[in-house]
Amino acid sequence: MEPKKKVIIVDDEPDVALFLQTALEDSGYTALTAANAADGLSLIQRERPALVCLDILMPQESGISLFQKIKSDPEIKDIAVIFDSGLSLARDFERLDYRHLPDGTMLPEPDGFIEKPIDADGFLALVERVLAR
Amino acid sequence: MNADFQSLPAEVRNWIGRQLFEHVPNNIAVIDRDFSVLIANENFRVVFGDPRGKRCYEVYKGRKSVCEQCMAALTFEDGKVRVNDEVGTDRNGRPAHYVVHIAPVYDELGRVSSVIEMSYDVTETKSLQKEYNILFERVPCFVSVINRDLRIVRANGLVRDTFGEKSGEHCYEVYKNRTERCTDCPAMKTFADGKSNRSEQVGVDRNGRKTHLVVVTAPLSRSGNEFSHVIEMSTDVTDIHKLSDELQKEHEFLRVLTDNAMDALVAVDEKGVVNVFNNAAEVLFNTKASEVIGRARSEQFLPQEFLDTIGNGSGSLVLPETVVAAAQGDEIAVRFSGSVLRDAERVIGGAGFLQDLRPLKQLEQEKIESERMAAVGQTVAQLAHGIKNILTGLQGGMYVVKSGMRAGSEDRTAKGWEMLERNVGRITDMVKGFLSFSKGHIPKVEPIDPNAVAEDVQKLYADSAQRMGVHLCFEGHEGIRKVPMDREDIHTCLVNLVSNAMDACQASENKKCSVTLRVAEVENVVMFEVRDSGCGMDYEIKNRVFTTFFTTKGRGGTGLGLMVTRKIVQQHGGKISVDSTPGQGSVFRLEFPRDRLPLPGAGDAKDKHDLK
Repeated sequence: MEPKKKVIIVDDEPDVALFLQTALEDSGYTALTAANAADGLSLIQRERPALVCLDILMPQESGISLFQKIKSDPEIKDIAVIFDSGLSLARDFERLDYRHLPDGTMLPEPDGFIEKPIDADGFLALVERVLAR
Repeated sequence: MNADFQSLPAEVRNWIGRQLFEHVPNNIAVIDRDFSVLIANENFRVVFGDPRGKRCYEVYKGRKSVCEQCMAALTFEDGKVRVNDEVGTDRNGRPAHYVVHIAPVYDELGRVSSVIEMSYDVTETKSLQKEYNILFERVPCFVSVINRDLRIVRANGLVRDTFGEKSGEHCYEVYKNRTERCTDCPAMKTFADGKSNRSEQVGVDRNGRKTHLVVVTAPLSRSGNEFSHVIEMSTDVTDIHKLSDELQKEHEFLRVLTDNAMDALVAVDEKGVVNVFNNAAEVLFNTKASEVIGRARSEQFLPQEFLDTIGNGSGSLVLPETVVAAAQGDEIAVRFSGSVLRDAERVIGGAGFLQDLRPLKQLEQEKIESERMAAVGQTVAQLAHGIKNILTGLQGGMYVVKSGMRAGSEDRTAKGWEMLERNVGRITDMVKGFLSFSKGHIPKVEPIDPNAVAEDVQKLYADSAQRMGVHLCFEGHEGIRKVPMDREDIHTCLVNLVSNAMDACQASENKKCSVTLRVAEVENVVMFEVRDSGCGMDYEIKNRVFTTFFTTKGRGGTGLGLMVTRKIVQQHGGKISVDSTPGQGSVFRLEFPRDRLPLPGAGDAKDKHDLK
């Protein structure tokens, strides 16, 4: 049997984290959670998951900042990232110049977006799609 | 002497012989071949003095010798009668101009023994002539004398200067550079009717320039009705024409300007008679200009203040917003600016510009409306955002419950149930907040210890403060008297302020922030103060913190906190103020003067303060 794919959820809302964790676990993934960006980064570096689900608006450090760190770190930059947020992603997200680093580097696009409120089936379908690539 | 003379009565002959000589209004002197004056009549003596024993040249000209071209000498030679213009000196030494007739007197041998000089004074005539000449030459208009052939006999200096020296040529050649006479020739008309005529002509000067002339022709007769010449006097009105053209243009320009002006223009004379009423005025008052021009209707179109201004002649008047009456009795809001018109010192009326403020007002209204709509939109967006989070929690809860039940895991089902409860709680709080804000609620006033309320809030946040690394401390006021307040309300206020302060600390770059919650009473004013050393607020944010749904916290805030806080504080007769420096922190103060606090007893506070 294929080993379970590992997903890390970074979200300051424990309810969202638990929701996504439960949904993933029910679908046969191993799901770990972190309540802030700093914990998230160390967890990712340690666990090397297949996928990271990242909330954007978190106190202290935003999901965008964490995304930039992941994509700038050669060790983990190939890990897939999905953003989940209450932002209207199609509209608001484009306005954040988040892929452009101060040193001129252009980061790749994230692997997916999902907007809150999250529908479990839609979320799981996206996760499956991203991991099949 | 003819035979008639011999037949005259003796006394007449005697009078002619003696008295005529003396009384004739000429100067008569008889001179011999030595130029000595033999006899002179009374007139002569009056003018030149007694000439007896003197030579004529001494008498006439004060000379010592015979004149170079002496006419008398010639007549002594040839016996001819001569007439000459002479200039001499009268007995008073003044130059005298006179015409002299010299006639010979023959002796028995037929020789000219003496000559008779008869002269009359033309000094005055001469000077008149001279004056007329000067007048003719120098008058600042074209003067020419034209004969019946329409040839110019004489022309003055200005004609020569302007049209060239052309005496003898036809007037139409000179003035108009034509080869044949003009059809409307004023000189011909005068020759025909003998009357003075006036006309306007266009001439061409020696440089080919068009010259507008006003021409007056008059018969030139020395006496009676017979005349052979016409005198033509013309004035160059080219400049006046030009001026009039320019005036016309100017007038046209002003007309276009006033007609197309956006603002209504109404001008009246000093009697209130309307003389300008432009297109914009027609539109503004819904009245045709033709119905008001020339009528005394100033009070209908101009504000009374301005009519008073015209009345007392003081300069100008600007009314940023006033009202005038429209045709149907409606009132129109206008911006008015008017000036009193003067001719030198005299007030001749006034002109006023009226800017219709209705479109502006409309715009203003639309702007307010759109701002309100934007605010509503913002509110809805914020609400939607808040609801999204709660909805996610609810969905999550349902999912986890379902998942737990499916897996037979009580633990997981319980967790999911908790999520549902928590999120239902959140949405309940949110709705409550809305309701309490929008409807207003009635405070339950009872004497409370302000220290105790504040300390409760501090304890409530102690854990999270520690987690966030914020130093949260409380400073009470020892021995403070109880204060009549709604405990829950004040608690809510302090929770809002402390929660804001903690957020400000989190947003700050300073990792060792502190929040101080302080209670104090100074001069019967009870004060709660929340001070933080967090990120602070810039001017823009500071100005908007008390506005509904304003939040800098993204999904973390409903934007209701400070709005609700302010409302509660006001219901307690207090006020809220804020001091903030970006990067250094903020202080929010709630101040409640004791004499304005509500009296204990439910429902009391609102009524009391509404009555105030």
